[in-house]
Amino acid sequence: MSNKISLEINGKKCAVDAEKSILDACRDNDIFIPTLCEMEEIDLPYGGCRVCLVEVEGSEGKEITTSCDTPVEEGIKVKTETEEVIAERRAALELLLSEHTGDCVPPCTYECPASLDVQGYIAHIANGRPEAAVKLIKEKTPLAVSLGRACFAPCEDQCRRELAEEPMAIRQLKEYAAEKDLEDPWEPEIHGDTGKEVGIVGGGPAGLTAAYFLRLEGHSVTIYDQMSELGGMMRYGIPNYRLPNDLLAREIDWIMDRGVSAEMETKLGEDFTLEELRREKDSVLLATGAWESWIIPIPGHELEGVMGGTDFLVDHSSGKEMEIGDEVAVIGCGGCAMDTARVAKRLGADVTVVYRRTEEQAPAPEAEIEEAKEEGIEFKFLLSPEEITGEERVDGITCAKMELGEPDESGRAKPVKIEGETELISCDTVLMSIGESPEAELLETEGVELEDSTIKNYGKYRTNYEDVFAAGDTSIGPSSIAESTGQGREAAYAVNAYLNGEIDDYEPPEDFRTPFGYVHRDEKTTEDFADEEELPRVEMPRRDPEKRIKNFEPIEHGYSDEEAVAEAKRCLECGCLDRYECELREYSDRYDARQDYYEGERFEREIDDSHPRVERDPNKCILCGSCVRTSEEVHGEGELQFVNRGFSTKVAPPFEQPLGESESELIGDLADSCPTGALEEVLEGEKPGPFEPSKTIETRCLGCGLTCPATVEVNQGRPIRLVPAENGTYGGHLCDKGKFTSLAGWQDRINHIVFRNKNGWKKRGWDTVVRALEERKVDVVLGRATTMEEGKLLRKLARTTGGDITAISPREYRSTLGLEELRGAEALYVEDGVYKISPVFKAILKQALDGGATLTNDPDELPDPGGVGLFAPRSENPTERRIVASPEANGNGLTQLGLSESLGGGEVLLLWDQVACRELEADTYETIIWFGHMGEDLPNGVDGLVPIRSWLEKEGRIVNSLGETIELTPGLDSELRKNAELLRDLIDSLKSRTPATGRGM
Amino acid sequence: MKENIEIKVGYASCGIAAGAAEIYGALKREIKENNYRVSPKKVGCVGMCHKEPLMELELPDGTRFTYGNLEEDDVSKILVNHIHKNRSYGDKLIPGKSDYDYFTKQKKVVLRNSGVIDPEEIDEYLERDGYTALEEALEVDGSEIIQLIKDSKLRGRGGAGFPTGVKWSFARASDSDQKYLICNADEGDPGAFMDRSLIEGDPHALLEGMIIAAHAIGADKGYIYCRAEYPLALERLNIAIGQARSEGFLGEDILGSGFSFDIEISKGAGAFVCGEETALMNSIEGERGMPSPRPPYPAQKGLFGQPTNINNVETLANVPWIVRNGAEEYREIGTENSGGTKVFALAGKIERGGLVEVPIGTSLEEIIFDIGNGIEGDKDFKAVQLGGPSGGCLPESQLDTPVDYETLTDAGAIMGSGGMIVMGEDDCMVDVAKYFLDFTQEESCGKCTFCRVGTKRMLEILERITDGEGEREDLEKLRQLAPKIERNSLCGLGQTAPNPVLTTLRYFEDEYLEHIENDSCPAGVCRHLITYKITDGCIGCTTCSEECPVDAIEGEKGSRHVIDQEECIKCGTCMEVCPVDAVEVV
Repeated sequence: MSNKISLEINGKKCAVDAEKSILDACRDNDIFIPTLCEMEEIDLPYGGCRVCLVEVEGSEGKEITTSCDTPVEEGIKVKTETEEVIAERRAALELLLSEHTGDCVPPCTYECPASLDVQGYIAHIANGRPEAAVKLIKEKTPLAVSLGRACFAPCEDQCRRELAEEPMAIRQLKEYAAEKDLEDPWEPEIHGDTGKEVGIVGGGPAGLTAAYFLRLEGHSVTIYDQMSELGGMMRYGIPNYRLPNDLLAREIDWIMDRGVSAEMETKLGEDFTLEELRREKDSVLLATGAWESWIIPIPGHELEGVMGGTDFLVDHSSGKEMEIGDEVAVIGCGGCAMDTARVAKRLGADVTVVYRRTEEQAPAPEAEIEEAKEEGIEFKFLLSPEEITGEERVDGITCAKMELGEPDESGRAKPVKIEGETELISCDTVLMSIGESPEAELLETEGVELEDSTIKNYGKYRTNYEDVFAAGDTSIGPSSIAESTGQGREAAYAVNAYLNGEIDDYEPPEDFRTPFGYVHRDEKTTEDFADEEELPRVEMPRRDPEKRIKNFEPIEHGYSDEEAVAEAKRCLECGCLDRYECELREYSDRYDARQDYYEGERFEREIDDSHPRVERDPNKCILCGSCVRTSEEVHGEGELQFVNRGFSTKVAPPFEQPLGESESELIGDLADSCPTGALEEVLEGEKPGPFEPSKTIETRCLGCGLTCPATVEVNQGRPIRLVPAENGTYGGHLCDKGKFTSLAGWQDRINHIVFRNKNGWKKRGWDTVVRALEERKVDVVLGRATTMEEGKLLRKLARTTGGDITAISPREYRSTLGLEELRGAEALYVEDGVYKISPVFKAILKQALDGGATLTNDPDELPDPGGVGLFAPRSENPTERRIVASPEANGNGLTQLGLSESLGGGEVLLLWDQVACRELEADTYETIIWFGHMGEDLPNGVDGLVPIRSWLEKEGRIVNSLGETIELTPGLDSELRKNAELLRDLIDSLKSRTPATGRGM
Repeated sequence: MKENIEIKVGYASCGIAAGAAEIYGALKREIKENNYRVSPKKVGCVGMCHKEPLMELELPDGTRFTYGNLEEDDVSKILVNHIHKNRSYGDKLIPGKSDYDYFTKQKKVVLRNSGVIDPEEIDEYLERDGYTALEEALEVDGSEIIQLIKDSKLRGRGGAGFPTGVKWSFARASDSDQKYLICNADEGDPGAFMDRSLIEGDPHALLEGMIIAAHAIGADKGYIYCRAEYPLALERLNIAIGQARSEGFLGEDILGSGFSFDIEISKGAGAFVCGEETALMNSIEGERGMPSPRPPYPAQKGLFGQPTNINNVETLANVPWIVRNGAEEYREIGTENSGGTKVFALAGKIERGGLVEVPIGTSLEEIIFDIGNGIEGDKDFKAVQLGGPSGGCLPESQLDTPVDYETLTDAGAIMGSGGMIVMGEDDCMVDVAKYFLDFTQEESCGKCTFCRVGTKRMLEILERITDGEGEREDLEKLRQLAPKIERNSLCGLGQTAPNPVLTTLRYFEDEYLEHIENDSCPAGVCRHLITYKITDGCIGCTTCSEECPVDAIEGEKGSRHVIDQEECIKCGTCMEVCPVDAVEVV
């Protein structure tokens, strides 16, 4: 029994082994300590990151010290989260952040007021999964269609693709995915009813969004809206040609179908009072918007023909008879002004937009100005209306000519009058589109405190009433759909916290948005993208301007699948692929580390993307040494090492050789050891995400007979990557073969039977399969992940038809020893080729050698007992005490089935599961049918593909290289029937068919 | 009595750099050409760097004459004077040791042979009682030696001052078949050359100390980790090891005692951090020289995983003396807590720089003013930096501090390995702090966050300040970050790196504030903060205004010119071209 030491951790007494570090002692007692460089596998602490600091009070007083390299001592008192400890940890993290360069999230996502994961949904679209894209969007907003059609898309302003040629069409991609989803909408999970009732005043973007998220929490929600239809300014402010009413209605219906109710044409202050609503409901959210147009009080503003732009739009959308002149002047150049001008144009007027600043300074999105110009709208910049002229009705505007002066508070150059210079604009209607405000008087009458004409914010979306919250325009002033929906979501969470009695402790869920390094466009320049292949933006088809000004029909036609994928592929993937795994980010978040606290020099080192699946970004390296130690002390390969000294110290491959040229088959393992995105695993598929794992499956890697314990990360039903299982026995590592090929083909996998004809692959029924096999001698080749149960059934199938059965390399020898003997070996012999089959044996062998084993060159010299020989299959002379490495997961097991060495003269070849053979001797067989889980990209000669359940979906046993029997656990659901059922059915069918009575398809 | 005149030429790296090889060549030539009965001899460092190259002449009757600052021509004149005229020669003669307080205030224990014997001749070492301590030591048990060393109060001369005897007892207590003894000769402080001189002057003292230490702790293999930039030291060590082996002091069954021990030299590539014990061991093992956390301590699990004892050159070179003369005599030299002497490399703006050895407890003032004769050029003393980049700068008010481990630490500096850099009124203390921090920053192994990034961020603040872009909050930031680096760095390099900044902030804050608030560098060092001014001495010759590249100087011919400070780019052209030195830096 080992010597125990008693100590106190955070006031709790505990006893731990004498040789433990304080870090281990804390972990044993489930106390969290952050660390970026500690590796459980390597005994000696590294002591590099200095984040694992704790306070230790011992005989020599109190001190703050690293816990990884401080051994426990009798009677010490450890405190892990004192203020000082946290301050020191924060300092360590801040220093690391000060040299950590890259984008944690991409600029598009950083800029999104609705906090959408832009890079994520674009990646899903690029990978052909619009349904996954929509789900990702709808985690943050129910208004996917509205945003897709009418968002002002600040993301696109930040898109770095512009530095290569043009920004991504982010809004249109969202539109594509969202409208596809309308056909068969995704169904979110709704919590059980809480019995709490919330009243929401206003059914615009903020109100609808809040209603949706509150409903998902299980509350009962009613919206009160003054208009006859829901949607607020989305319905009444944005014209149909931009956001079609029918699409909006379908989107709103989908929200209401979650169980939200609404009372229409019910106006606060007229039909009910806030007081009444508060009595009735557990909480109230004010989202009444901003409906009052601003009118500039210049001389003549009260003349007939002068109107607020918003009033004009609302009247038009409400179906009111519109009286509009022939010459319309629109004042202002924001989004609303563009809508106003374009509606007026469609009503038949000649339209001039008058703006006192320049086009570059205009708040309207560039694209909307462009479209307005296409439609024949005239723009006059640097003109400031001074006076509206006319007798009763307007006949013109006198404008002062302006020029740009010094920058104002907004940072934009301020327009100043050119003395004495004016311009007269002739018009009979003036539409002022310069802004809107909430109905202040009304709110004040209801007892709501205001500040600068919006509702006074008491923090956490609260108002002066503790049960009343506010969001959207009424709270922050005129805002976009994206801002309002973001507000609505966050306000919903605040209301929810209030309803749960947690509002005092509630912190709005703020995404970790710290951009590390070069987020701003002025820091990245076109030079940075000079080598980027030019991919022009895939323009979404639109109606011709001449046609579109004739009516209010939608102007965008939408992307086809191909266009959407092509556009999505243009994404440069600026955001870090390790966003969801990065420990630096996790801890920085936890301890509020400020990224720019210690400002100073940063390196901009070249990114090495030479390896197909691992990208090395030295700018994100924090020099924790995990990869270097893994490479030296675990693999013994030395793929990476430290170079230079001081601040210039970096990690690099020997002689700066690109990672892609390394012969190591454990590069992915280095990426797994990296706590940041300095070594990023690039996921399978066109775009690697990043995708947040929604689920994990604890299973085995079936890449070879070692069957290393592995965790499969799943995102929205699809496995995205393999990582070594947390408490993995064996080496605790995965080789590149296992890690990078196990999920290959998942992307294109097809779930129906196909057969080839001269025009390519055609969908076929089960009968076709049976007919192709009946009355034929069927030879079977078993793939690497064939289970014992499948093997037996397939043996039966082959024998039923008089055929033969084999595996790609049938085993001659089975292992006689297991992992325990290997780890505890005194002497070892390793035959050539073993590491090639199972590279992870290197790590296990290293453990045995570190434990005192010796290596011998002659298997006959191995002591008995104590010696272990490691052999490749078909070894000439394996010893009795042996482990046989098999390239197939079930290699050892399949040997037990008594397979043939080679195949006889069958007529049909049946390949089962992942047969690691891409070149088949097609000539000798009439027909080759592959039973597997893959796409249509199959070798020539294969005539049919029958989808079967994969290793992540099937049950069964396998016997691995170490002689262990492993039960597979199906972690993923499958629509396919079980493999055993399919085989039994097939055997029965083949048995029951009487010999040849005519065939035919 | 000797028959010949013996002439010793200081032939250590310092002497060679000053021209000793030429002097020695001239000497040989003179002897040969004139058939003089003179025995020339190369010896190690005499200690008077400020007088190099040096030559000491010893007449058959024992009288000695030392000549310094020699040039080749002087050699024949000295020989002619002594041999033919029986008199000394002119002003190159240095006063005799007994009446030259450069020496009177010193006490040579470790350096007793340096500059006296030919380091390449073991016989000369033997003549001066060499290896008698070893003979004595081999007769007693290792534990007795350790007790003797404990009693002597010898403390580690590498800087930390850990009691050597105690350290040895840890290594002795570790149970293992294989133990190592390492001599740390990776002297890396800028301006420090104690260990190099010691090895070059008396390599056998080190070897003898190592063998005794190995016997005491039970080590059978020793390494001397010496930087490759010390070729002469390495050469002399190699010679000495060969000689010691052939004399039976090294190798199997030393002097028939049954004790075996041998020494290997391991060359370092000059990384400062390799002076740190764990980094040094990693380096010997062929790994990157990076420190590792302790525990495990070297005494338990050191080189190649075996118990290891590491001592600095000077520490080990003290050992034979202690064995020969006893602990009490040694203890009497030093202070209550620390026995013996300490060797310092006295450098910087000092009138008489060199290698000095003083009893521990001697005051800074005695060293700098009595031995070193104050600041060169009759300028004012400003500060003294002790302990190299890990140490601190002490001002005039601290000059009465006795050099001892505790007193120096209290004052904000450290004893260190013996670097002592003296600064005068022309030195800018912010610039000095920046210099040392720049050194440690570049020499950081890069492993731990606080050292790698923290020192860099401190350095950047200092750079801002010397560039005139500093702000008052920067001092707060320095004061806030520095203790974090000290507390949280993995090894001594990082833990001490902020010292120069902290001590200069402590004693010379006003100088920092001058930079920050008045954009001026009082010492006139920081280029961005210098202002050029034309004085009353201007004769109005117009040269400066003609040469000024930015036309920043105006003035009528014949009258005083003025520099437009807004326009001035501080290139210094005006100062260079002024015929009457009427341009000054403020």
